[in-house]
Amino acid sequence: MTSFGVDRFATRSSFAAFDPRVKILCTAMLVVVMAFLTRLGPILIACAFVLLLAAMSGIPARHLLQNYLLALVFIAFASIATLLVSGYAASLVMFLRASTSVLALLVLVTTTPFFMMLEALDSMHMPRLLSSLIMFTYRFIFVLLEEAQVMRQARLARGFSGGRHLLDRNAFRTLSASVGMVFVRAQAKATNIYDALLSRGFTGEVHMAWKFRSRPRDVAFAAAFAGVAMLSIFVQMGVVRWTLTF
Amino acid sequence: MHIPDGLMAPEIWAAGWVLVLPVLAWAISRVNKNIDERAVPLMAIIAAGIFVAQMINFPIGGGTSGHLIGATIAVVLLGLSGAMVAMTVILIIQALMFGDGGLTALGLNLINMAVVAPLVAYLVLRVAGRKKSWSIMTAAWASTVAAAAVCSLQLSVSSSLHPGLYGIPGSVSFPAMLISNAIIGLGEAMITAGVVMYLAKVAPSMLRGISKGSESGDPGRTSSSPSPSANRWAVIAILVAFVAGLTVFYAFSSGLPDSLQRLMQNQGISETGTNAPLSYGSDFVTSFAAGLMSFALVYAVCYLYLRFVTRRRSAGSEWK
Repeated sequence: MTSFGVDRFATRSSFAAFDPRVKILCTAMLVVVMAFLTRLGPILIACAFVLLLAAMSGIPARHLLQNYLLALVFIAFASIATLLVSGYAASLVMFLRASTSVLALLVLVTTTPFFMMLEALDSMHMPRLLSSLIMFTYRFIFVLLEEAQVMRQARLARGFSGGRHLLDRNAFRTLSASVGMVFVRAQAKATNIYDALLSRGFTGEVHMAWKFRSRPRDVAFAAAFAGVAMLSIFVQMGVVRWTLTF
Repeated sequence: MHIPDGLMAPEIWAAGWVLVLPVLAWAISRVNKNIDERAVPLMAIIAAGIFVAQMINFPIGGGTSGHLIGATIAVVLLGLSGAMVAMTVILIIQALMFGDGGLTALGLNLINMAVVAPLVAYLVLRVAGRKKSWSIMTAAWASTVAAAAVCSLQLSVSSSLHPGLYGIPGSVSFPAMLISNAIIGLGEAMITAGVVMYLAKVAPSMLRGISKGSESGDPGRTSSSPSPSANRWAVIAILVAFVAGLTVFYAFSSGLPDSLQRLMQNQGISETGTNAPLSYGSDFVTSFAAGLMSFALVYAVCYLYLRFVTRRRSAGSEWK
């Protein structure tokens, strides 16, 4: 299950043991505040804070960068469009605001094990169907990814190279059959897993081995977020004058 | 198509959340009512399957590749409300696992990929029948393009509310998103139809759906036998939906000069160069007609292409 290593930094990070509820709320607050910032000064404040947070978290920069690249396509599209239409200052604001928000979210998701995050969302009254579906889906993804990996290897072993273009019928027939097979194998697995759960007394509720507790350091964490958010808003509104004018 | 945080105007993403929550509440309550407890792991595994299928890249040409959204597969396997819930689960996991798609923008991402895409796929399948590979292809293509169109609309409205601060002007976002997704949609169409045909051959029980008993509550699941003319209705339905969208778009966008025009005015640059034979024009009617014609052209090309691809497919028993 850990072979794809999504949670591999979560337990090692210096923020690992922080209360996930506090982390989620703080990140959400910062991202919401950032969405209202339209001037370079306050965005730079938030950006510096998030970079500091990323550095303190102990997550390798390479890992953050790889995940950031997923969002970069959209951010680059928007920034270049803004550059062409409204000039470089607006483009820089757009680029930094989106990048900082993405980085803040990445720090949250990389330093929090997924099941803790789910439990935290549960404590915030997410509908039960949704949370149990998310839990099952998350668990199954790794089972299926391993199957997909094995099937990919089998395709490669038989000389399949991925196809070249949209008219490549063989490529699409092979890929469709692979995706179809993922579903077929998945269905068989789902039944087995569910039976196994039932035989262990599963009633639809999942009990976690930990209890959330907010400690003083969580309060400090939240205070830092709130402070940066407030400072950014004040600078944005011009309440605090920036000595270097942006 | 996962919109990250920080791109959209606050009014737009707030509206996204306000609009999507009741729809999701409806879908969740419907799924709760229609399926028994045993179907939850099955739904989850289909969601996980779509998640994994999204990670398989297909070739587009010129060294680029695209990947599935998977909304149409979800509709075929789970029905409309089930597909909405499954796509929601996928998007939440993507946001919370990879940071793919933002928190504020999650409402909008849900609208595009968990509401609009399954809804369009469902409507096309409902009208065209869900047992022919070409109607599945049309549904998959239309759902991808519709999601991209709504996404472009959100970007362009963000941009016209706050020019230069949020979003992407419609003059850039619409062509870029629609053209790329019209092409990616072809791959989505072929794979989706391929998957459904494959399942019909290998595991027909999966296509019978998850609702308990024979409730016809979710019409995506009912085996309505489509008449030959139903295909034409699908085309008409898509065209009508598009025309309605286009009207709304031009009605809202025609009032003011866009940011590029304003910039050019400010800089004292006038538009020069030769006039295109079919110029957009400045009034509502000509730009509307130009938009309609280009859509019809793209649609016709894609339609002919999909027909060409389907014709040579081997015919299954009742699935053809």
